[in-house]
Amino acid sequence: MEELIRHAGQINQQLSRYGVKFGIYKNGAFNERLFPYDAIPRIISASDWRDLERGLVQRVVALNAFLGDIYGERKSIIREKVVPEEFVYLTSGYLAPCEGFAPAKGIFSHISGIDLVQDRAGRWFVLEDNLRVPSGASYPLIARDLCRRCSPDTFRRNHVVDNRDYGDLLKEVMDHVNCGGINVILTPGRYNAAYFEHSLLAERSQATLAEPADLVVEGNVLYYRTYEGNTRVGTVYRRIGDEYMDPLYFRQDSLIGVPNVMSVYRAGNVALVNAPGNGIGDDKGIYYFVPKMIRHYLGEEPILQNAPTYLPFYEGDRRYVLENIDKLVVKDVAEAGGYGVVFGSALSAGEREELKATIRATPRRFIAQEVIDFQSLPLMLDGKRVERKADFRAYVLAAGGVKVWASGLTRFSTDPVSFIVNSSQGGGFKDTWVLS
Amino acid sequence: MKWLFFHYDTFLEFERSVTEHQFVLRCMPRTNDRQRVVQAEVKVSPAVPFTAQEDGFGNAVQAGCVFFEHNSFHYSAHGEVFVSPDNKDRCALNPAFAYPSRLTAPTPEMAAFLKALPLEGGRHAVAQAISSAVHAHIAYSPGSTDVHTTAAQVFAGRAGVCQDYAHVFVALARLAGIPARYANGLVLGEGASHAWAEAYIDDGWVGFDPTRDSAVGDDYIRFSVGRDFDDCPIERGVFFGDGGQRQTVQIKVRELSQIDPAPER
Amino acid sequence: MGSVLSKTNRLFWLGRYNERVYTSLKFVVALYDRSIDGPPTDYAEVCRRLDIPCPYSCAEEFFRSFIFDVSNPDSIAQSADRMLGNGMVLREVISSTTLSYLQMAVNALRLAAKSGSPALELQWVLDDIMAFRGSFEDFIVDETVRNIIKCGISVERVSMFERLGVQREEAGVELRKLVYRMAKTRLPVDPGHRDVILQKVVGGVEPEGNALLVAVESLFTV
Repeated sequence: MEELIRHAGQINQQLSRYGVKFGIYKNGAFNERLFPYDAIPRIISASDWRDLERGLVQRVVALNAFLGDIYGERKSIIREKVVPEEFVYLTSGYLAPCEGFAPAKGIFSHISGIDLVQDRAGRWFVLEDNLRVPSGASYPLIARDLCRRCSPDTFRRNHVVDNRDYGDLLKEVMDHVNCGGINVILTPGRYNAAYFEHSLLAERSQATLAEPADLVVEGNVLYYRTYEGNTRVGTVYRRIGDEYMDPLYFRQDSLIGVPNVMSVYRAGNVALVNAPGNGIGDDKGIYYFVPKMIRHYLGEEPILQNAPTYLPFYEGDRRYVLENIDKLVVKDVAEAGGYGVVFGSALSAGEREELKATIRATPRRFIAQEVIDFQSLPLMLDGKRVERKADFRAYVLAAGGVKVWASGLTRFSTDPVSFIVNSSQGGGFKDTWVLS
Repeated sequence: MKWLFFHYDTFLEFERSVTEHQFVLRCMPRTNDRQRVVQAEVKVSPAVPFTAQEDGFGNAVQAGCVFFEHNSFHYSAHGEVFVSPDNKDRCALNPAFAYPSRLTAPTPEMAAFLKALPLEGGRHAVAQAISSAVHAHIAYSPGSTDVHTTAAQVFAGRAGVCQDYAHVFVALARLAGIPARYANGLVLGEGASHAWAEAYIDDGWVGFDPTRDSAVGDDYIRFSVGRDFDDCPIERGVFFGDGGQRQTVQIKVRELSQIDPAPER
Repeated sequence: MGSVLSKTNRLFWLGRYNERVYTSLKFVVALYDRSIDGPPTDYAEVCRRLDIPCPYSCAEEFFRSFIFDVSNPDSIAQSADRMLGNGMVLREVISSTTLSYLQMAVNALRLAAKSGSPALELQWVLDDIMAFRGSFEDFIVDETVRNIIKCGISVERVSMFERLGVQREEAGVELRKLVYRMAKTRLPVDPGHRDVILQKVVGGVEPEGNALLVAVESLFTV
């Protein structure tokens, strides 16, 4: 480890050589900055990883079953009143144009980013599921490459599972559902927060990086245009939001969509990765029900726990939340990216009453969670070793089987008191080692 | 039971020529409990290939593209439909229709309006009362709204056209606990396309027409349904081009009789 | 046309910006060198030849802004950013390795902006650009792709030489290269402009006024 710290300067130099950047919009202006990297990795033991892996696979299998159930005819989980209807149909992630359609091989969430934290006792808790366009895999992917270059001895001495197969896994995912044609990664363009990632993943998965104008629908088939003619597209790993995918079916003002791609998709002539409409599966309100989904669809007990969560929608939970608001973290289900997250303890008495009134008036809008005192990880800040809160995003890929990438994105907050480690809110990342 | 011939015809003229015009049409009736489509056909001009498929709510969709430069786009549908006087389309309920959509989100004023209505009896009676109340609350006023106007805006402005009546009805019915949806199509004797609403009662969808405050009888041919207008516009298109456009719609719905075997084409 | 074929377009402009950074940097570094102990730089004349506005109040400001100011649309720094921007969109075509030389060129230019003796770091910029050219030549299997970039480079080089009125002989050589590369790419070309160039290269017919410049700059309709 000392050796990696010693090489931190060189590693950062390498990161800048490869332009490892993260774009953010602030005050309306687009800025790219280097995504701060800390050389000390998060280390997950082989046995810990095995449990985590089993739990993640179980969770993603259940979430895929849920998406198929809701958009299909059965809707069994609603009919059997395991999940109240309104939690599905009032979320902005519910998309009517996806009704009654099962995507290729029945897979909805091909690439799932599951966010977890570890408490001080080392137990893992799932904080959030990301089933739409989870980003971030490229950072640990390239960091590992560069670390091995700067400090080969570290990897000679430690038995770390190689994580540089992510591109192959991604290719497998795209090939598995491919409806005939090339694989493309669709990026909204150069001025997107995750642009670096889009281009790196295209390179690593041997896909073609496409901007919206490169794709065109003709005869209910999607094509990639080149000046030598059109090439048929079989899979689109799209890195643009559902609502922007197709102005003829979703937001009409979208300039980054591909008109009529939904017609092609519904005709089964192209696979969209991930499937549109997955927002009902990773909604903050639906999160509460994931353990119930696992029991409902798989008849198994959940291996991974949710953070203890309350739904003010249920009267009993509401009473608890209102009485204990100072101990809880309250999340607005409509917000993402670390926004709309309020720690009851940080509010003034007036603000607290205001929040309680809002919860009473619109209980479905919120979830409340016990604040997990999650583990801090060591990192180097201005040459000093300090400890900061960190979370972990695991990437679960569904192709022929469901696999967990033996690595992941560990994000930390540079702010010593903050629990919010989202990269759009400032913060950095670490590599994640899974030991063999 | 009526045997209806319909001809729906829309002519879009572009001020300056456009290219790569992708379109999605929903102007074809489908067979269900209350209507049986004997024959029907969609035509587009310029004559380009298009595909026929179903959207999320089972509506017939035609999708295609005119790539080359064109100054106008003409699409039409015609056919024959048997319509049953039994105003009910029996099918399982999609719970999506029980909840507000973007164009049908209710306001506290609408909730208060509903509360003040003397609603008695079963679901059918309640829906009928809502339909009449909506009819009385809104003045028919072409041009006062557009396709983006929400039920809340119409309710507050108290003026609109058939689409708006339907949206307000749908919003209020859902508030009253009755799943409801938006419907559009053609009506015998009307020169324009029409929009109305359906409420889910017992085991199927029953039509209500708040614009005309009448039942939906065997003179209504249904094209499509959705949570609101946005789910099932008759036509939607995007193209490259920067001029304005003008739309002319011509509609003919005629009753055929058994002795009239060769309807006009 | 409703849309642009972004890959082709970007490859072409990657070549153009790459060359623009290279030639203008070499030119302006030489200019700067002469200004150290020579007569004052006629920067207004430079701007006139390049057909760009001249809002600068002194030579010092001209050098600083024209080389380093990213917010100046005519600056080398901005051309470098565009070069990198086009390259980033092409990562899977040109490879991360090749792309990294463009990133390093931009990084070096930023370092030079903070340096007391910028000519040293500016040399790195030129080195990185040359390394980029070697890397794409070596890495990119698809000859068409290589030739599109090179068409961009040739167009820009002829255009810069013509504008600056320097290295007339090299401009002639580059023009011949352009004709050769044009034939190898199948990029769409304007036939009128092509004929002007062919007449000069093959027939030795000297076009009048700035006809050659116009023909070269508008040759490809990408």
